[in-house]
Amino acid sequence: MNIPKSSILERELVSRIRDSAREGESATARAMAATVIVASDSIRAASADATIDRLMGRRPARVLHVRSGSEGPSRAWTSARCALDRASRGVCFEDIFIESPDEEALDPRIWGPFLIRELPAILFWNFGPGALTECGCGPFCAERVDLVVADGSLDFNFIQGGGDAPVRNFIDAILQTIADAPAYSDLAWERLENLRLAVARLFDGSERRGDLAKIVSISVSLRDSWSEMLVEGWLRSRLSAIGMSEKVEISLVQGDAGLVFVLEGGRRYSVGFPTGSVALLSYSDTEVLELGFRETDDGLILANLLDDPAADPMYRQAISAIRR
Amino acid sequence: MPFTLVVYGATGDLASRKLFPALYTLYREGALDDWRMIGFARREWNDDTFRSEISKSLDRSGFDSTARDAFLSRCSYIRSEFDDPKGYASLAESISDQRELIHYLATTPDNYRKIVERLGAAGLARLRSAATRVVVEKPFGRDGNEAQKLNRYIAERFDEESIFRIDHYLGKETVQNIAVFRFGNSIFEPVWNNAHIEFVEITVAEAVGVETRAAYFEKSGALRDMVQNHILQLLALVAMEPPSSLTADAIRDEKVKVFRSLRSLDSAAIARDTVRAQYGAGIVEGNSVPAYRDEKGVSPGSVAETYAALKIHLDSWRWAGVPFIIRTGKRLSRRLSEITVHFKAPPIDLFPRGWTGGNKLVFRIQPDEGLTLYLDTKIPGLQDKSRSVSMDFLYGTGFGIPSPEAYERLLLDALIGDGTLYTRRDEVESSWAFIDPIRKAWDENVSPLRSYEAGLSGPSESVQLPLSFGKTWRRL
Repeated sequence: MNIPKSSILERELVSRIRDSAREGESATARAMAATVIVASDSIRAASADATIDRLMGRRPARVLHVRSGSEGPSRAWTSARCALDRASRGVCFEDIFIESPDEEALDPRIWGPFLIRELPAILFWNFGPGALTECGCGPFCAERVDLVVADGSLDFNFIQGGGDAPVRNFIDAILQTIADAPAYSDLAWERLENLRLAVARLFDGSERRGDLAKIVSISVSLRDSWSEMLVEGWLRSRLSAIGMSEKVEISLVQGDAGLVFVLEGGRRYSVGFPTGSVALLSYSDTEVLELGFRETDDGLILANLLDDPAADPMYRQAISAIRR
Repeated sequence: MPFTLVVYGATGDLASRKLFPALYTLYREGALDDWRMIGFARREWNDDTFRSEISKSLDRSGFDSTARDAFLSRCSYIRSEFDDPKGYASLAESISDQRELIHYLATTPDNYRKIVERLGAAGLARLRSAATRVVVEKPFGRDGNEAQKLNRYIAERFDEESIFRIDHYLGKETVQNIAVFRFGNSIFEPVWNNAHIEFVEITVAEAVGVETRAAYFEKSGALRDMVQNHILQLLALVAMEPPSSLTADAIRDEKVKVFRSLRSLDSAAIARDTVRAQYGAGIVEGNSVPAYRDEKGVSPGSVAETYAALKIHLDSWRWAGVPFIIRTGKRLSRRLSEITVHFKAPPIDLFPRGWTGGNKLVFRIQPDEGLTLYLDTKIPGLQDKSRSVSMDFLYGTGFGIPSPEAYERLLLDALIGDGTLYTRRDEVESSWAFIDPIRKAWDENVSPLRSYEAGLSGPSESVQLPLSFGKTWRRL
């Protein structure tokens, strides 16, 4: 693949970012927080870029868009854009696009020279977990990438409908990727943080904590199947920690009603999310607790991952505990 | 003081790329007063062709034509073989005994002895009424034995204070700044020791291959080409004790002490603590590049190492127990020279350590000459998480004036007779004394020749060097 020298593209970027910063008010040109590599193909590029665009105005970043399956010949180009953050400060993105009709653009030897050396590098991978090592990213990513981020909910859509085997393979592939990658984070899991906090709060306090031992069954009803499975795995791993994994039946139910815990004697506790930042903890028809959370979106999640590019060990526990 | 600079090998690459632009810059800045330059080489040139070639080299270096004609009028050319007495007789006739005379050996090393011998015989060495100096480019010998012989040979004709052994790394602003940083500031010296420093890392990485230097590199390899001189000099500047003054000898005395405190590596240590490797084909800056053995001028069965990495210890009170890991290589993922001083972690980790935590001080030699200090800082938000942030100083923007090229500073120092940034005889010989056993063991295959893919960060085996004390190299 013959792309322009990195030094030429870097020079081009310097002037682009300067121009963009001039347009935005008091933007801090070239002060970057991380390099984000968005690996996708022509089909997934739009949704992948849309996810990353939610980071705009939150953290300044260099974004490498590496795309396979382009219609035209291999090429590379740059752009820069700035947006104002909540304090009206300009926050800039440096964009480098590399695309090829085959899979060469995904080769880390092609995009590696554009990583900003002193900053965290986050690979946003949009091909499903199994393909990560196939593109030759294994040893390179171990050395040069701090965190591999995927959106399990999107990836899961591609394997649904084929029975149990594809699901088992999907989970195995994630476990393998967790073992191979420097660190692995699933946006679907990160999006569940408020739900997990709400469930923890549901059984908070000495009186409620005692009810944990009385759980008979749990139904999980969320917007997407992968999130449901993650919650199932998480619940099993937590119940396992108190020796109750085998005793409690967990079912996944279509819809978005949230979680319903059925206790001995038929009592029901539930967690529902009428909005992304409000949880309703219900102990009975009359006893309902409303909890407010910080609004979570993919932009905020990505910003947090840029600040602290580390894997959540509980994710692995949850994945491992999913019944297959 | 009026002087005449004679450049031997004046038709070569070094003269064209480095010396003429450096001399021209010094001239334009008014640093030179009454001077002449004579090119001395084998090519069938005359004064006019010589001046024309100098002019082309200045064009290539991006200079405008200001003062060009006046500069060129001071340059002349003598065509001669390096062992032809007639050439030196002609040179002797063309220079005045009242002017200082600086001989700059910009030839291949195999010509050094011939030139020095002829200079002595022609009365162009120490038997002149005005000062005479000789500047010798690296490599200074192929091993300690050769270096000693060459030193003795030159010393028979020139006094030690007249011999200027060049290591152009010492002319770089950041390298000179190491001493200023260490001994001109009071806050770092108290922690500059094994109580506070965990390890020191020196990297000299190149993205280019052997280019036009295959013939030389085949004989030299990375160990001789980079480690024996540049990297050990950097190590000495980081590790040396404060000099009693800024005189050339006071500084060089301290550097020699560092070289003498380098712990010799026996066979077992060489097998364990050194890595040599050669690059294979790969991709650099988006372009496919050939393997070293497929480069023009390289033997298909070459065993010359293009990558060398060592773990070194200094047996001194200050540095006992502190590993120094050094690496250099060609066709790596980027061009980069830096020294990183890694400080120890606090005795108790009160805060969860985030991304690449820990205090580090980085001297960036190239590119982007400057300094960076890394500190752990709390990530804004409700959680007590920290991550590494940097405090940067860039020479390029910090002073608003460009740093002089290394050769400008070194050439000027040679012209005025200041040898501080040049290496002394015992420095060269003691650094070879450390390198020779490694070279010999490598030649005997004690440490096998590894390979690495061009465009990446070197052979996987080198990871073991820092991993042996639980650390990793800094990313390239």
